[in-house]
Amino acid sequence: MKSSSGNQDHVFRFVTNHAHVLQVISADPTARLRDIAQIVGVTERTAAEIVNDLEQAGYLTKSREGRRNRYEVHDELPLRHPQHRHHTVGDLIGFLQAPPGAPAGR
Amino acid sequence: MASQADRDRRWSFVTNHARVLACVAAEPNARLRDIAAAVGITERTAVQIVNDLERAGYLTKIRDGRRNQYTLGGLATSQVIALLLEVFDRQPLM
Repeated sequence: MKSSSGNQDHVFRFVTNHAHVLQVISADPTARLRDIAQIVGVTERTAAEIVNDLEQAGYLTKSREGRRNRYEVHDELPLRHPQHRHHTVGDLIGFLQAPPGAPAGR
Repeated sequence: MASQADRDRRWSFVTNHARVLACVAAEPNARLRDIAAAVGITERTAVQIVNDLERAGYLTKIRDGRRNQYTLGGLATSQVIALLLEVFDRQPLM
């Protein structure tokens, strides 16, 4: 992924906003788009697009719960890139959620 | 309007920086050409990414005859690498 900053500062990351959104939802399945957007550092519109991408790819299922959405994360699904198929999305979430210094949850 | 296939292809969970780092960690003698092929980017992009990683302290380049040899940074970084590898990839280069 290219740096989104557009300058030559070479700010880069190892995981994408899609991974971050999925991790936030996994931690709080009734998170509001506004909160997801704020945590990840994207606009609410972008957060909605990412959630749609994740839903269309089967990683998320949305259901209505009162005035909120409740998301179910299907963390048994494999990552999509051919190089990464032997890992599940649950591995990725466990890695991102592991507290500093702790071994990654699997 | 982008097709579903296009939409699926234009996002991923992991960046090319992570993929390049995983390649280098798996094969410290890797040539840029092979890294580029494994990750699916141009050699020029691979160079830029390796430079980014070097500048950020994730790896150090050492000239070894006609090849570059890469070493990964200190302990904390190695732990990061181990986690990255464990989670994301350990595909040997061809």
